[in-house]
Amino acid sequence: MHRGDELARAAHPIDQPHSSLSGEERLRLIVSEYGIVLVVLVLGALLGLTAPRFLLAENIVTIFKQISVVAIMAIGMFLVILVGGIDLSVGSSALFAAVVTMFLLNHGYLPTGLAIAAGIVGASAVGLINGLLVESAGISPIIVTLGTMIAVRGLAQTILWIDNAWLWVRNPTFTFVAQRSILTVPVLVILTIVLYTVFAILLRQTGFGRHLYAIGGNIRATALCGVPVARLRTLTYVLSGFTAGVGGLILAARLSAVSPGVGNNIQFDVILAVLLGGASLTGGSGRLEKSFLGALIAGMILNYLTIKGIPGPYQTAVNGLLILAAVVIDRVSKGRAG
Amino acid sequence: MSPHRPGEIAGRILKEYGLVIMAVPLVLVFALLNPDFLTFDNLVSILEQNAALAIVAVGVTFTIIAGQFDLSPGSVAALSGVLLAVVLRASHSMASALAASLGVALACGLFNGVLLSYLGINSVIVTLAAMIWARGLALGITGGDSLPFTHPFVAFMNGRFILGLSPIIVVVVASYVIGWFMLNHTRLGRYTYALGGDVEATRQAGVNTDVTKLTLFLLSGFFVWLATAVTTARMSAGAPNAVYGLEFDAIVAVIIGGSSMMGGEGSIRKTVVGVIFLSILNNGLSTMGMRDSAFYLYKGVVILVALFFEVISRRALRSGTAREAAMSGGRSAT
Repeated sequence: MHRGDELARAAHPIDQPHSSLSGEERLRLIVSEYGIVLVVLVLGALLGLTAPRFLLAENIVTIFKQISVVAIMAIGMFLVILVGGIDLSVGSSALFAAVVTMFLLNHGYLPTGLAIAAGIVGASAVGLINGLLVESAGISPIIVTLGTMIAVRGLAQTILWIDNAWLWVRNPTFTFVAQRSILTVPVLVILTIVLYTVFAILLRQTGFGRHLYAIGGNIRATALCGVPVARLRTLTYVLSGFTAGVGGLILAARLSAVSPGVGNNIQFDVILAVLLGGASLTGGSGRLEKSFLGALIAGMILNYLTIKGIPGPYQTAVNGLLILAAVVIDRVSKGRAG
Repeated sequence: MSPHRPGEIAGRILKEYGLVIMAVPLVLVFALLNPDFLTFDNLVSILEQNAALAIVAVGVTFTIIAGQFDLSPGSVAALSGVLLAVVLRASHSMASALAASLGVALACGLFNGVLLSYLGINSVIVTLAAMIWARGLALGITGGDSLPFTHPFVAFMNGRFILGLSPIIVVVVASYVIGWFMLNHTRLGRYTYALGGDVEATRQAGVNTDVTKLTLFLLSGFFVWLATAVTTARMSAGAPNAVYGLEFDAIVAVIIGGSSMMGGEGSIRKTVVGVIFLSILNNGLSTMGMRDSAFYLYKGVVILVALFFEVISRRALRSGTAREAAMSGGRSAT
């Protein structure tokens, strides 16, 4: 198969004309495309059968509210992973955004809208630093984002200590986002869907999106075609910082307080969501919408474990094994190609 | 052609001694703030405090040179430390407790090694998952509490009776001697460099790369076990929260020591420099009575600065060689 075909198919596999495919190939394609939806449904049925409370409408709404933060942060992480990078700093960026915004709000320095903007810009700036260090200085993304993960958490906590390591979240906008519903749909869920829609359109309908898939597929060829590879990859880190900032503010709203531990280790949940969604760490493949389903699968399992009274640490252990399961299934389904 | 261009010389000096140059002001500041900083006792205790980091960094040197990542040591050390305490409290036999913790550490190394070599899964993901599940298991087994124990082994490990040094220091030094010997004088060491250089070429040269990778992660498990023994002896307890972030410290020590992230190059000597730098930083910052937050801020910034040094020096060297190549190319054309 030509490299070009492969790239195009990686981008939008199901959109390709199927006439050239045999029945078996088409079946495999459909399974690899929609298998995850099936997984969600079967898993939901299984968990619902063994824990009747699981499928109550109220609990389903709770699950969607619980996963909203991870799902939103997974958008940026998906973009970074799509171009072959990784971002370990999102948990710290989330704390940073929450601290900056609530600090400015609680001290009355800025009105609500501007304070929110400042927090999100701050988190995006962390992403910009990541992107510049990775792309311009050429340091490995794991090491760079590890460094900013440590430094930015330290910075955020230092600011937080001005208020004795605790900022209440009592702003009406935040309460509205965390607790209200519009036509019985929680605002949190609406926000998540809006963000996913915007980014899915960006990825599918614009040159920006096609270039990201191309970079992940073959970075050299893409660079030779004149695509500003380094600038686009830097941009993915900025967007990852952006969604991390949004996630951090929502986290603060849900907890109704900012404490030093906010967002700690959430980067692993976010990476898990993207991997469960079928994205490959080598980049170039996967679909954004599936990262949401990945977050949903992890959220369903954790919710189920909580209903069953499994202690938190074991839930963490299950999370780790889920990451392995996701990549092993991905590897086995693709055969040992690379 | 001239090898003495200023840029290149600066690059070479930075690459070889950059970290040492950075360490001098660091040590000066700490010594000014704390008059006891440069005493023999304090230097020994710095090494003892960072013994787990120093030992684990040896195993990490191997995996990084081979172009692999191991993010699991901290969690595996915690899990095997918890198992050590559980077995010791049940059997009152240190030998079986040490054997059990060795078994756990090697089993984790084997599990990771099989997944990343035979199933060909990215080592970042395999060991990231291990970092999460092993920590979760350790916390789950103990319910979050640490398991204290009393045993003569603790007093033995912490007693200073070998030239005023404790057996902990001896274990650290032994780890480096073993690591240096294996990396420089055994087939495994050569294969390690080969793997990091070019996996495909190594395979075509007839090396079983899967077995080599597996062996490297078993070796890493062995060093993790040594670190576990030292840590539990220092705390006289198996703690599920112990050595949190150890893997990151170890990787950072190896990288800022000057081994390449891309694999294929690096040495035990470089790791020694990196570990000493990071140990001074850890100890100096924590004895300044800082809050955790400020500690992490300074540490993260220093790490990024050290990395930046590394990159600048590499770039200065590379532009030097590129210009040289261009010049000699131009000459041969005329």
